[in-house]
Amino acid sequence: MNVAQTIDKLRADSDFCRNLTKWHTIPPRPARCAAFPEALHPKLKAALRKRGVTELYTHQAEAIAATLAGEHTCVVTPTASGKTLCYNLPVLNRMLENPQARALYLFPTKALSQDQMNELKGTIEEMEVKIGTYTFDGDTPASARKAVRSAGNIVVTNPDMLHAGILPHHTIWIRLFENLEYVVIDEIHHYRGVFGSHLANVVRRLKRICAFYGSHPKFICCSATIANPQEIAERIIEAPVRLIDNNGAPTGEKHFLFYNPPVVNRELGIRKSSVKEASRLAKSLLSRNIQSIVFARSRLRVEIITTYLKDAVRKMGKSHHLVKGYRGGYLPTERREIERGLREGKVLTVVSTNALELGIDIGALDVCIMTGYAGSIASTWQQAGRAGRRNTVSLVVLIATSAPIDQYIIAHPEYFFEQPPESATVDPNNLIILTSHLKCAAFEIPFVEGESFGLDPTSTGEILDYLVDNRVLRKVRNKWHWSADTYPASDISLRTAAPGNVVILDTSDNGRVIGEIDFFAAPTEVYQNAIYLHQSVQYTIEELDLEDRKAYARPVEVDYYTDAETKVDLRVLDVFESKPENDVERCCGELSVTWLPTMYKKIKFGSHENVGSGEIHLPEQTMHTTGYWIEFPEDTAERFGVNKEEVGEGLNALASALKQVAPVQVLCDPSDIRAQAMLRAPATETPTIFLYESYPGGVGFSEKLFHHHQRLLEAATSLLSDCPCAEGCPSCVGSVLETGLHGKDGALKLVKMALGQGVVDPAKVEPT
Amino acid sequence: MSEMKKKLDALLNMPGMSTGARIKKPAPESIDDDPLDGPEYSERSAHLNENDEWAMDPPLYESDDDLDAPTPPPAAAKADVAKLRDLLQSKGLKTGSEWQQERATNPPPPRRKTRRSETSPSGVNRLRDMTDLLSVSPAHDFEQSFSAPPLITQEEREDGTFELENVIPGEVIGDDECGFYLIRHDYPLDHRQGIVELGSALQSKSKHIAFSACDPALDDFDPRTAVFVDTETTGLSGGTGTIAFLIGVGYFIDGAFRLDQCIMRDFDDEEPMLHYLAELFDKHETLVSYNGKSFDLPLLRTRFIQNRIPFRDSSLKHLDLVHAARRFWKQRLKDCSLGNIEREILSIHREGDVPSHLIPQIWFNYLEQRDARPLEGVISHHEMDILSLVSLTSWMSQCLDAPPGQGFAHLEDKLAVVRIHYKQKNYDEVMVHGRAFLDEVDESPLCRECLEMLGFAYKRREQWEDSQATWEKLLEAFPADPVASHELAKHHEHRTRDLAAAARLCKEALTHYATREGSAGLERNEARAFRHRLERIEKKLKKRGGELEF
Repeated sequence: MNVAQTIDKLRADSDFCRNLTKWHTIPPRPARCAAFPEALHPKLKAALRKRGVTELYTHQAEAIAATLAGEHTCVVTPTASGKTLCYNLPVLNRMLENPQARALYLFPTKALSQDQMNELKGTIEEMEVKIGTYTFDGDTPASARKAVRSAGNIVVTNPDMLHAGILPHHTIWIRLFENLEYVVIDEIHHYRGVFGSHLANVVRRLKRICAFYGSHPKFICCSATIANPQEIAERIIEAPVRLIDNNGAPTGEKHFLFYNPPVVNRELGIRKSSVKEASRLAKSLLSRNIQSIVFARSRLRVEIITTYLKDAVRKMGKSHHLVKGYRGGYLPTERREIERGLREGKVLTVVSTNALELGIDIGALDVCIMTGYAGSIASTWQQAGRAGRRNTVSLVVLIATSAPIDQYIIAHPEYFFEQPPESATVDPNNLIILTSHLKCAAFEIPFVEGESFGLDPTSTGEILDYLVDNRVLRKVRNKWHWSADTYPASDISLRTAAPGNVVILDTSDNGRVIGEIDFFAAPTEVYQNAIYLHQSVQYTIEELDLEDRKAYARPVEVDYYTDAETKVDLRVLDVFESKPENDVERCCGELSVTWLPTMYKKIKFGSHENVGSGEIHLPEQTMHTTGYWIEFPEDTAERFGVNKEEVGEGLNALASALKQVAPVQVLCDPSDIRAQAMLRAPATETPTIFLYESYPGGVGFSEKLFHHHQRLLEAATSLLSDCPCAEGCPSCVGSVLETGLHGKDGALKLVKMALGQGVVDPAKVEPT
Repeated sequence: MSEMKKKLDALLNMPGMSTGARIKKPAPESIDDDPLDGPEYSERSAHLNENDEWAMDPPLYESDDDLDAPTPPPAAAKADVAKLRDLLQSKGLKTGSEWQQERATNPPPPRRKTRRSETSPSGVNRLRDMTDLLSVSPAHDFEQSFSAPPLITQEEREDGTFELENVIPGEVIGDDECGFYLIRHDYPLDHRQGIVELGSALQSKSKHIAFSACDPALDDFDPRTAVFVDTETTGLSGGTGTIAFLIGVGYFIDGAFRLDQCIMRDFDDEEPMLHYLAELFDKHETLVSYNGKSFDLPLLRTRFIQNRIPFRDSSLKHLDLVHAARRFWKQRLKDCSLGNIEREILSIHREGDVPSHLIPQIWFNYLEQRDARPLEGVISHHEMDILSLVSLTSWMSQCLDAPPGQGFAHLEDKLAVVRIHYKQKNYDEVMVHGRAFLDEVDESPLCRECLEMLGFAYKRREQWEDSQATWEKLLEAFPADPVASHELAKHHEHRTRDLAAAARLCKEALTHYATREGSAGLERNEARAFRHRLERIEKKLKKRGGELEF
């Protein structure tokens, strides 16, 4: 049975349709093609024809022509629209003209680099020319590095490696930098917030080094659909960019369904489990041999759904290898095999975390099932893009969980379909980030007076002088020299870095490594007595040795899985600045955020009953960061004449609203800042809202928020009063389910109080 | 005060403002994009509904999108950080990350309600923390107490009382605008460095040099065109920001050994210094260094590129003595640092030598203080290093030039000579030196290796009888030695056709090692080889037996 038939069948299934809140059909779109650009080398054209490519899609042709004409480009393409040709063709074309030419490819993950290598090597072989193509990352053996440096026409790497491994050693990469003609930045939408701000500075350093060697590379960026791809690209490479979003790739008809699991307990409002509903749907697709992908929001859920589906496929009398789980923590080889299995059709159903949201090539699938809203409009479209072959109809089903945001989205499909995807933000001139890269840049090549780095020459000079005062640099005549015996790049991490990972060893098999998990996640996933699921195989953890970064596991067969509970604590360590104003006090300072896994529950497969529990004995984990917070008076409830619960709802709601507006004030990504409301904060015992930074140590957002307090509160006020919703929605304070009936009112009262506008009668506040 | 300056000052007053490296990773082994995909972000951790606390920001989305997070490059700076830590510990001070750790395990008491003071009483500490974080190198401040003598007065500094020119004899090459400081010494050829006279290096024979370096390119090595090189740098972490502030070049000229120590009085001295050196290198053919192939030369290359000065390094030959030293002495001395080789081989005993790891700091301090007195120690340390290169070159050549068995005193060293010949496939030399070794040494575990090499040397030269005799001798001294047993079994199987003897040898080896326990036993592969051979021989024996019977 094919997809079209399945869709017809679903449409006729009244039990199924009763739970749908939206059936959205996206019409098919024919291909729009263009001939190969004239400038393309005949060898390249021939190789493309050999691979079955006889013409290009319009966006490819436009991108290639623009790049060949010397423009920086940013190609925005949905999944599977052939974006790799947009950069591979101009790059290879140039290499055919000039065998000395070099190109640098940047991918955010190693998996993507690997993917790219295979694609490139295929085309190069067809052309029967020698174009050295190498990956250069932490896995590149020392013996191979020399060859990469001298013979790599195309060097495929990631921003972290460029930052800490290539730029600070540019003299041994002289061949690359002298001849660098193209820099490809794929998945540029991935570089948002702090990460993006770091990348922008790495690009500044790269351009500076290129200029030293006399090269001026052109940039080719690729982005998924976000609201402002051109802006992001221009901010990161700091040059005008030609936007190419004229997608000519064909798509078949796509059906996008919103499904809310039925209520099973009317009094408690409990709905059927989304995991079970997703499994049920996936099972029926499996029985019809339809290739599908199931997204789930956590690693544990992926394993549970995988377990159910493997059981089901066995019962059908087929190989359980038709079903695969896919998530972080699997070993790279295992993951490559699954990707290949998907492309070759040997894997029928893959259950994945958002790991497969990025552009890893797994071919196009027929159906995509999302177990829960992906969290943002952009991510949801990315995941939905995994389904949809060029000429056939495809199906996407979003199954809501009971989480408030899911319930909101499912009840308001127009919120999803009518809004543009989120925009991304980067702030290359964040002072702390810029200063840290300025140090690296000075290490790489001394600064000369009048030179600028992101800022104008005077400001650049002032920061350099500041570093002189700190004795990292020394100014002699008109040059600033690195003047310390350290290697600055190793102290700066582009990402919120986890200190390594924990490997999971099978004690029954000579300590074979079965998987890995990042250090911060280990205490909640591989604690002693946890059931660790790997491709639905169960292991029990015998011991977690955090010091040696090892978890010892042994295969078991039990009918339950385990789920840990964690307690998160926030503590103020130091107050840098505080200011009483109106009735509240705002502060900024150093915080310690600790999280401590306390206990785990044993949950039975199938029924999801709680069948026992245990304690977890592990040390708490701590992150020190900076935060900004607002303390309200202890007697807020009395002043408002309401009970404490209502104040709590208001605090929660206002915290949500502040978190929504803060990124705009400080130019960061929403994930860079977190919010927490406390009705009685430790030590001060006052109702408090904390906004704190996700990065250990922080990068200065808290201080900015402290100084922009007024503006921030005003922005929150207009967000609250301009939002047309009555009691709250994900765009302002979160849905009613999340914040309670009094959330939005309470938030308005609190924010007015903070602005010194007195206690306002909520009845008088009308949406404007 | 400019806007920027204000901002920066604001930063300085905030110890929390770091560069994101606040919680330092112990070692940047792997970077994961999203560690927050940890507990606090997983949807099951929103359990903060205790009493009156609200859990906000319900972390719904477990992000999992960066699976093979890229691994950063091997941290060249790791050693550096460790070094710094050691240094600070020796002063009873803490690094930023230690401070951080301590803070994590033992946080300061929560603040009281009555806190508000506009100026921080702990301002000084904060400043230090801040310096710690932003400058990466708090060592600057603490180093001074170690190496720095007396603080000099502002007046002395301005007058240049303790400038290099006034403290250490030498001359400025170039002019005020563009120049560097050169300290030149001419040593008479009979100047002794340890047990060797410098001039004796002129007698070094190229064949011995090429032999000890295992480098045929050095076959025409001529000490008169060699330049002995060593550098003192601003760090060991490598990368383009490390510079060589003191470069020493020694060479024979006009009946003397001349040492030119070129030292930078500040960063702008580098360019003229490199021009001087480039010219000097042009006049020579071979560089002699200690570990220069992996350290000094790449660093020099980087410096020349950074200053856009052509450097003909590709046409220079290079004798890196560290590799030779390791071949001769690694087994006996383990530690083959130049310092240890000086002590153990050349009988040089340095007194009051400046520890190498303090050298960068001493130079940095000089830049700040303009007091060159502490540099004297660095300069004499560096001088010793280069003179020792000459000694070592000469000593190696002398030892190799002596009749077999007489050059080196230690048995291990004599055996090392045999080993190097063996590695270079000089089988005739292996026989000469090996026999000399065995004549001198009768009972020593060292004989085993020597006999083994000798046995193989005979085999390669197809001197079968000598080879057989050697294996038998080896077996006599070391019963059932696997190599000898194997070789002798092969010999009997294929040459003498004494299958019974061959079978016996295999059996002996197998039983001998089967009774032994643990690591002393045969490796699995070796045992398999013996068994395999034994089976084949027994088959042959049977066949032959059958033929005989017939």
